[in-house]
Amino acid sequence: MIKKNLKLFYLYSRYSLKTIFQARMGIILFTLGKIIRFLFLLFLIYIVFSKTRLVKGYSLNQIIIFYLTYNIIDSFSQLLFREVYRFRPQVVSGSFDLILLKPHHPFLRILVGGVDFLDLILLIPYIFLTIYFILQLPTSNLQLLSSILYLFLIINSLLIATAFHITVLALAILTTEVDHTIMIYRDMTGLGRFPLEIYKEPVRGIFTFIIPIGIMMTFPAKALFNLLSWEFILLSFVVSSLLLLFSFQLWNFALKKYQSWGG
Amino acid sequence: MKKYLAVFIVTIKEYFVYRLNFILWRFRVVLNILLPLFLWSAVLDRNPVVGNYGRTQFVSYLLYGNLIATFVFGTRTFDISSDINDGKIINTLLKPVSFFSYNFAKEIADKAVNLFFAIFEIFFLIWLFKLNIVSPNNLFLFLPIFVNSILISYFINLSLSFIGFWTTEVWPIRFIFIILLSFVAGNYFPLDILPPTTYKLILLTPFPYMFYLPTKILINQQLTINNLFPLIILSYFWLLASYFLARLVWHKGIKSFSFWGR
Repeated sequence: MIKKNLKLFYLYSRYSLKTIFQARMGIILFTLGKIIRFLFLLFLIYIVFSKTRLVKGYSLNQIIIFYLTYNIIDSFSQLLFREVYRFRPQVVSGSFDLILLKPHHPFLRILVGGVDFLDLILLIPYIFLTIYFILQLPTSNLQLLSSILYLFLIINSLLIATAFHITVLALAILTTEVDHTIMIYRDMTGLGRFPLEIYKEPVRGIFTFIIPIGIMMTFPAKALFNLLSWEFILLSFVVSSLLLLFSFQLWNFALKKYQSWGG
Repeated sequence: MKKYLAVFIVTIKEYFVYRLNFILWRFRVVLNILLPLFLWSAVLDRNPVVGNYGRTQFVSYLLYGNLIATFVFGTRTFDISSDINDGKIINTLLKPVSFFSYNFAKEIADKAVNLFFAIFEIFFLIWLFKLNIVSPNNLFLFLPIFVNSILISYFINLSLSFIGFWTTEVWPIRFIFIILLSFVAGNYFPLDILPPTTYKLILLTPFPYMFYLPTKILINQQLTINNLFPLIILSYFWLLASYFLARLVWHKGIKSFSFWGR
């Protein structure tokens, strides 16, 4: 079963790669655009630190690590879940029927069926840059346990991202009125580019505990800096499990409500 | 004029067909202002003056800037490139209306609806986070520069849409434009806090005249026209340049346009 699914995943990924290469100009411009956006925000961090030495107690290096960690999680989830961005038109046109009729789980097509290799181009330098900046941290700050926790919390963040993407898929079936749910998710996660301490209440509370952007984007870096207590580390794993469970339930509920719109 | 008023009203009505969609769109706009607002607030907590800006002026720059951006950057010209690509543009060309005025009426409707809601959102943010802002200044100088910024943005967006006459890959080009706009126009901070050489180089591009200049005029209490004179001249230069560019691309594009089977 797993072998068959992996084979299908590989097949869909190959098709996706071929589709990307149909628009060569698009590849160059999109990648360029993403690089420009990354560099501009990095420049913004340097501008901010040219005016102050610390931001909410964090040094320049730490803020850059927050920003790079955000980029790794964001790029990795875009790489895997790009097909979610194209799901709503399939529901509206009714072509989702054709996917449901296929003898495999629909997530293989609508969740991970459109691997975006353009994000891979950026993901690799993000990882190298993160390693570089982590190595610049004072050695007293850097411990093996915190580095392992950092990796585990990034994996945990990807689970939260998976739950969010499944929720977006379910919402696309439940309400065809909203055409940019995924972009709302992107804008919300964008708040996690920097530590949530910069935001005032109630924004900080909402985006930490109600919509767990803080857990997803900032907890890994905090664990790396030894600033996260065991209770919060545990909480982040509980939250991701509950969110995944909720997203599966919502998906099953949405699927029962689904009726073909096209024809 | 009556025709364009009808286009204006119909466009506004379109927004209220998908109300939830529109509300969530506005929610996204509010989210996007939170990051620069709180990032700079955190800096101002430690350092009360950044560049020539105190906390109130800096926050005013970001909030007024957001209002101006809502009106200047809100656009319906996205539709034009897809209309060109799938041939629907013929429907507009066959109508007894000016193509430019027809789209401008749609554009103004889009901006008006967004501005209406943005005003409430800004008041909400001021109330929620107990922010202080300066009252708007230099309105007589602001208005013509504001009109310029709307027109520069409209003409550049039109030119980008007309690229659809030659390629279906308009979106990647627009993506780069949006990214440049969001950073180089001054959305994240007033451009004059940058190192002088970078600041002067950015002033040579059209971006600051769509956001930075009108916002700066609006929040500055001790403004002399002499200081701003070169920027005002450059604003008019970019207005003319963007207008002629849009016209040129349109004339070239419409001549090369062909479509089958509608």
